[in-house]
Amino acid sequence: MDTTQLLKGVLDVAVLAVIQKDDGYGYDVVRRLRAAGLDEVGDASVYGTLRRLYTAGALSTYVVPSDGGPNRKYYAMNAEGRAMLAEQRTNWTRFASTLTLLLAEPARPAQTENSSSTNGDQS
Amino acid sequence: MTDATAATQTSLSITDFAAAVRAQLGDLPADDVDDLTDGLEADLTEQAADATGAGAASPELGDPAAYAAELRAAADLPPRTEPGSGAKRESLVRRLGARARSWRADAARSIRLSPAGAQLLDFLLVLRPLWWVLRGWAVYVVANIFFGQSFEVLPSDPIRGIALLAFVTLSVQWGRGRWLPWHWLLGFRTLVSVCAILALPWLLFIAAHQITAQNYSAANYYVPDSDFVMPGLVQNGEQVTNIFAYDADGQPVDNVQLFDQNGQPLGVVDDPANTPSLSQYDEAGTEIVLVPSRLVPGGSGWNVYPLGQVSAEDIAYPYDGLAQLEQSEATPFPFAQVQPLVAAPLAGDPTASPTPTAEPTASATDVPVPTPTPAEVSQ
Repeated sequence: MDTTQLLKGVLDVAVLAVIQKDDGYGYDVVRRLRAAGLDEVGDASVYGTLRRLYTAGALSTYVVPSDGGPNRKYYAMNAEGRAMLAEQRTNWTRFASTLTLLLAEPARPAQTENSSSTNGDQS
Repeated sequence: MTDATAATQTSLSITDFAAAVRAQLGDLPADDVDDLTDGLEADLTEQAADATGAGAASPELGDPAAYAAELRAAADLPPRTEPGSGAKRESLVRRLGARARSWRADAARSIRLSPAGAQLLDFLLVLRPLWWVLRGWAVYVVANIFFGQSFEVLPSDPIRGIALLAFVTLSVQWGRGRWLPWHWLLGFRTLVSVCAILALPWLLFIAAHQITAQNYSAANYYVPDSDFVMPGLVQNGEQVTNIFAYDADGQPVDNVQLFDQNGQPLGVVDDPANTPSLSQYDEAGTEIVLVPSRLVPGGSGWNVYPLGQVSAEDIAYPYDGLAQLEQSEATPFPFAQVQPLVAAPLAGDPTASPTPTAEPTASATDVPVPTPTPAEVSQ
């Protein structure tokens, strides 16, 4: 399965989760997402998501001057973002467990065990 | 040295790449572009450093157009409009459209945040078909003003009726998202809607005015206003200005006092005490001024018939009621005499049945002779 497609649906909650741990600037967030295992995340997608979450009021920003380089725009969590994250976390947990159940392998080992036991009875 | 050159090349290409990405976002408002690409170079540089540090062959920047598209998609911004003829103008229109759409979506979202707002929105959504019908009606009325040169709330003939039906049907179908085969019709629909919204208050105001006026005139025409009472004495809707009495022998009688069923003086004016004279015009168009009888003091002898008159030449201006009373002369009777009454045959009175005399008097009634003998009739 194409994980980039999966990622699109959950990038919001992933970005929110990363920023809740610590404020970060654009590429910093990308790096932390990749470090967390989301290797295929596109940096442009993350920057766009950050901007959208900011527009939606879930994030606030502040500028940090850096020596020898351009100023960095840091994103930080606010109350609305925390509420959004809490809601999406619940949604994700429910969705994930539903899908896990749906995708669960049929109980084949139990079946073989059962048949072997009958065999054992007959022998 | 090679490292330095490579670094310069990379930073150059990063600058170029960022510029290309910005160019790809050129159709967006400057604020949006700034928000999206603020610190892009720094991010790219850091990423390049990470990549080289990790031992990757060379930092892959990729296609700036694809990068910009990814930024847009993630930021929920509209895709780039195709460059071509009139791209600038179109992009402006599309940008406005996109802005309006996103504004509408944002507004709806923020209204739905509160339960009351959500209920209001749901209520208004139910009323949408009414708006569609009103929009069709508004277009019909405006078209009728332009092509039919008249303002009509509802069509007055079948052709206009069909036109109204067509407009309303089209408007409703547009409202349901049907009958829009070409893309530009969507914009046209918006234009029509905006015009209809602007015109509707005026149209409804004028329509309400017209309907009220129609009802008012209809009420006045068909149902006589019960509050209105014609003053004075009226016979078959025409004002009675004088009364001439004849006795049983058909002879004129002067100074007859008349009273109605309630014992009220039967006058030809509605306010006898304060009416010094009553002006009227005869068939020839000359003015005749009637005055009350002098025999009743205070000028309230309006129930003594026949009323005296003042000839037009004698009228003194300004009017002075009492002075005119002095000048009044007797009003000529319409007939010198009329048919005498015939006693009922069963009355048994032999003198009361002069049948032959009826004939000459009957001829007298046929020819109204204004008797020019005021001295005789007046007392």
